[in-house]
Amino acid sequence: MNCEYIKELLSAYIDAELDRADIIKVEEHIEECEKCKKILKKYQNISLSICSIEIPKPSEKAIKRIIMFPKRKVYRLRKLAVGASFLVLLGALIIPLFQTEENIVQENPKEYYILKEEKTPYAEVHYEREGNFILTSYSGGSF
Amino acid sequence: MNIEKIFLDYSDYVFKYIYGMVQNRAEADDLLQDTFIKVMKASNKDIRNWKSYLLTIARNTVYDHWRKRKNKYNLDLFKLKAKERDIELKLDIERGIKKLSPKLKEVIILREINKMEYQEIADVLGIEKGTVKSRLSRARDELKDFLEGSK
Repeated sequence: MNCEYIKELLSAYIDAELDRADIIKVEEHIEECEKCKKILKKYQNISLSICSIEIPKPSEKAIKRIIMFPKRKVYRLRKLAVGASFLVLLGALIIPLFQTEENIVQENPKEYYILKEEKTPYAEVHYEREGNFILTSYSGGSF
Repeated sequence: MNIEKIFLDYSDYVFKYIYGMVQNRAEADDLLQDTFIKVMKASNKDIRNWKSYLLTIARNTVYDHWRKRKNKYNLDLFKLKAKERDIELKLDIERGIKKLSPKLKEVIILREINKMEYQEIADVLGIEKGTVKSRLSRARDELKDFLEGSK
């Protein structure tokens, strides 16, 4: 059988990731082929020596920094985020109460004017007044 | 789930991968810290497989780190080479792994150090199981050639 083909299976063979049919192919082949048997032996030795590499553990200092981290920063960040979103929400609720039709228009009279007059070929912008609010609607095309 | 428990359960496992990739303890310490800080900042709902989730984040952290350091390394290349010569020769296999491209290095680390199955590796790397198989075969072949050449 083709040695190149078997060689590609050898790595998965030592990882026990071959199906039965391929295992038989490999085992029958290496019975007869010294060259592939040698390669298999070398792959196995490589695996053994990688497994014997001494991998250190993370240093005490690093572990401490990680375990201490949430108390110092994450919680603070979370509190900030919660606080900020509460303020935004509160603002969104309160500000419209003080806003009348006049100060919306006066605040930005120019922009209001331009928006009112400008028409694009794709869409027309209509403004309607209803109570304290200015309603905007679009027609005449899609964006 | 409690992040501190996650950390205690998996920090060694994640560290193995990071250390295998960078082969430098101080660097691996920093990257482990960056990895877990990312995890703490993320919303970790619906995580079914912590092992592969953590490894995915660790992997992104390692690659980001390499991307950021790339220019710096180029500048320091000469210095590093001189430094490397002074350090006593490490074991051949470690030097061999160092020489592998990141793609081949990570499959070897995940398989041999983290003891993952092909399907798990495929999930973490976002590639096909068949690709894991062929990359591992290539990685072992390159290691074999390196070891034969260094004798």
